[in-house]
Amino acid sequence: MLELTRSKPIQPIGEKPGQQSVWTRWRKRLRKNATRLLMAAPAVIWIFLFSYIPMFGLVIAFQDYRFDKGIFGSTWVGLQNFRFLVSTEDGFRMTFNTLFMNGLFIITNTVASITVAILLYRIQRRFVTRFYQATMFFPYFISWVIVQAFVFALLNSDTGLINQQLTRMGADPVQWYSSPEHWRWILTVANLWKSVGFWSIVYFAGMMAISPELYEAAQVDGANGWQQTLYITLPLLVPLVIINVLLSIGRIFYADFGLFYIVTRDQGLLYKTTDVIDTYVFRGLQRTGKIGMASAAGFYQAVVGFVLVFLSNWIVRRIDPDRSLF
Amino acid sequence: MSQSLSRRQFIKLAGTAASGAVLAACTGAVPPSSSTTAPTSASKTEATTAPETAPTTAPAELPEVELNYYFLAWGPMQDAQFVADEMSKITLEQIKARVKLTPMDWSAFNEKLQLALAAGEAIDLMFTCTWANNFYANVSNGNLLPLDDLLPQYAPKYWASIKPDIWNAGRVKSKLYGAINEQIWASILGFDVRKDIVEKYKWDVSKLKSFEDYIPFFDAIKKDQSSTGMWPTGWFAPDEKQTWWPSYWGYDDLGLATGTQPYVSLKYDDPSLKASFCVEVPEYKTAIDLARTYYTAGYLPSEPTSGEDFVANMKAGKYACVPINSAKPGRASEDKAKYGFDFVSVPMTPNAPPIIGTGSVAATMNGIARTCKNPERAAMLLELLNTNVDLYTLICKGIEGTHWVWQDKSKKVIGFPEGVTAEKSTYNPNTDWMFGNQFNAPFVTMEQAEDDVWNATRELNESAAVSAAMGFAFVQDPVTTEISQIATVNAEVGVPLSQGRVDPEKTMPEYLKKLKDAGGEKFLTELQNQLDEWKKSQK
Repeated sequence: MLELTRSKPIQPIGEKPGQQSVWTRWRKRLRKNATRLLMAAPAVIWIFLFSYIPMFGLVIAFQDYRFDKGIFGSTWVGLQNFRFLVSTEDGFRMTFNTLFMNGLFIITNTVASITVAILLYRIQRRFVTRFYQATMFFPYFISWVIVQAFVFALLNSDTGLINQQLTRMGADPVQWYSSPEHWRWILTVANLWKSVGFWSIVYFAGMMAISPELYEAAQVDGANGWQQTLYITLPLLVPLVIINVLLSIGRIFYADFGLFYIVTRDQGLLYKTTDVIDTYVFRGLQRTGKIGMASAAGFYQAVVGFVLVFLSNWIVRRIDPDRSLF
Repeated sequence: MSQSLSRRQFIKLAGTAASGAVLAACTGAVPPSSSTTAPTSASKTEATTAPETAPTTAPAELPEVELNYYFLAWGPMQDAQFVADEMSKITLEQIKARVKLTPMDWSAFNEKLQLALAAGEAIDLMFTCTWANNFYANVSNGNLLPLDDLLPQYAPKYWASIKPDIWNAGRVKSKLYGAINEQIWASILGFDVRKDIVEKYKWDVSKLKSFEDYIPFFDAIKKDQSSTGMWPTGWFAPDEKQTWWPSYWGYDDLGLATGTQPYVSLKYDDPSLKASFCVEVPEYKTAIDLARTYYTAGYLPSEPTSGEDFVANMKAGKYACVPINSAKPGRASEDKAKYGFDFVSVPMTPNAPPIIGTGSVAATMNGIARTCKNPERAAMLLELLNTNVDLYTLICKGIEGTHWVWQDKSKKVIGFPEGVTAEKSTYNPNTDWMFGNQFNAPFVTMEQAEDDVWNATRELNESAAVSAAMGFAFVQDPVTTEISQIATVNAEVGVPLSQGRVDPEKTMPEYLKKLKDAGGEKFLTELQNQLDEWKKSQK
């Protein structure tokens, strides 16, 4: 998309269009951009159908929704549905867990995948690079249900591999599924294992776009590999990193349900560190079947995500206006 | 820089395109939202102004309809379509309705069915109860049609077969929503012990009357575990089959549970109907201490397994006993079909007689869904399921010759045909109690017939003590917020406590405190008010 627009700059704002009416101007621009509009159309329609139209359903968040009465017949209850999100200390805990764990995921993911991408980039033999990429990418396609089986095989207290190793080394076995304190890093590792392959490919692609001339010039000047990475690769990756991080921040309030619900086997004892908004809402919905409460939670997540994206974009713009997303 | 500029341009571009898409998509978008209300009102008017044709007299005049029955799939279901076709032969003749079966897997039953209801799928009959596809939530969300007029008119025999005070268990706010299935109504805790283990360790099962009685036997099995690899017992995830089971200790749980974890109890013979949280009653401590003893002694694996893993482990012979919450007559042969071992079913009732309460009756019901377009026909199907033995046998056991054969027709005993086993069967729900009056089902073993299991069950139902709160149903609407918070507390503290995985001394006070923080006081006050009002209305 960058290339497309750069080749034909849009008329600068403020230029007088002469005698043309608004309508003809619009038509002219439409004709000029027809191909691009057509290319954008599938994505735009998709977003409209699946993100904008369902927004009408948000009214349910303010209703005591009953299936037999429908959207137009259910009674309005104001902010009643939001009460369960904030009225106990569990409300604070799940908000904290969601933000903390997702924050941790963003940091670890970014650092690890850039590191992996750099290592891949420095491998000279293409075949080896491809092999590593493929093997690391593979976990991305494995469902959390299967990951859960792996994790349980490793961690289960009676026959788990890790506890067997611990006992062999003379250490005390750990009751993993009863110890919430370990799960922050267990989930981080699981998440990293699953997504690092994907993100390293994204960053690897970013590196491929860097002009080789820069490296050649640096080599002529006597820069070693480490210096090339530090002064060429990383600075040129920053815009990509900022986009990715800003987009992740927009979703920081949405926890990966599969990770938090399935991998922990929904063990109540682990809620202290693993209960996030999505699992909490799911549990409430299972017991009460109140769609209104679930919509309220979704609405709350969307609003906070929206605010966070704007806030972080604003901060980026304050520091370096050229690098902000919008 | 040009890059950031072009990004903004792209967003503008997308905006222009979106405005065009609005016009195109709007026309497609409006109908779904309006149509969600349309069938609702239609079905309602049909329900109230049902045609006055009696089902049995004039089936020819009725238009042909299809009735879709959503239920929980327990066993293999590949041949559901063939069975439905066979059933339709009977129902077309009798009530001019075609039957469609929609079994849903246990692991996704609640979610899928709620989704289907939300989407307005044409569900006619559905299985709904206290522990799956929650009945009270369905009533509160308007998913069920009232049956007060439908059943007496269109299902007269079925209506008469169940006593009025039992029907009360299917009522909420004095309106009937649940079509109750006649089966074991008195819930009795116990163990199904493998017969070969009983013989090997020379147990005297007649002496096993309580959880304490099992301790020496479990110790013996535990001692041999290193060589046999067998656990004394196992458990389901996340919260089933535990030492805290209200009826075992003489309490009624009022059908209120998180999953299968009850959290409210009321002494079954207390005429003042005083409800409290389980953790507040004295017997709870005894039960939890027992669970702790079991856990620390290593009678169970450290982590609960999933339902599928439990069945697989049981089949592989990893557990000596199956803990059961319904040690009813004939349970051993049901479990033999499920796990492939011979069992001895050992009921335990040391603290109270078997109790019948709202929860234990409302444990298996069918409801007519809001989306049902022909409620009167669905009621007729309920009548047939509960009175027509051929139809009932079809849905319970499948097609004669394909899925089952008579072992002894005079004694009403069936078995698998040549070459078919419980594992290989292509239709074997093994859940008679889900579809109608279980006492109409054929027996699956000779022992069942010899013991006349259904008669024994009926007698047990007759002789069981009736809870003082029988017929009371809690209306949860005023406290939904609290209930959803309590659900988390139960899962986080209550379940580990009843599994014995945490220290009761420390965790029990925490449990109570957390319940109170989660709005427990408000919940209990509301519950008590409703109980008091109900009591007044009974006089």
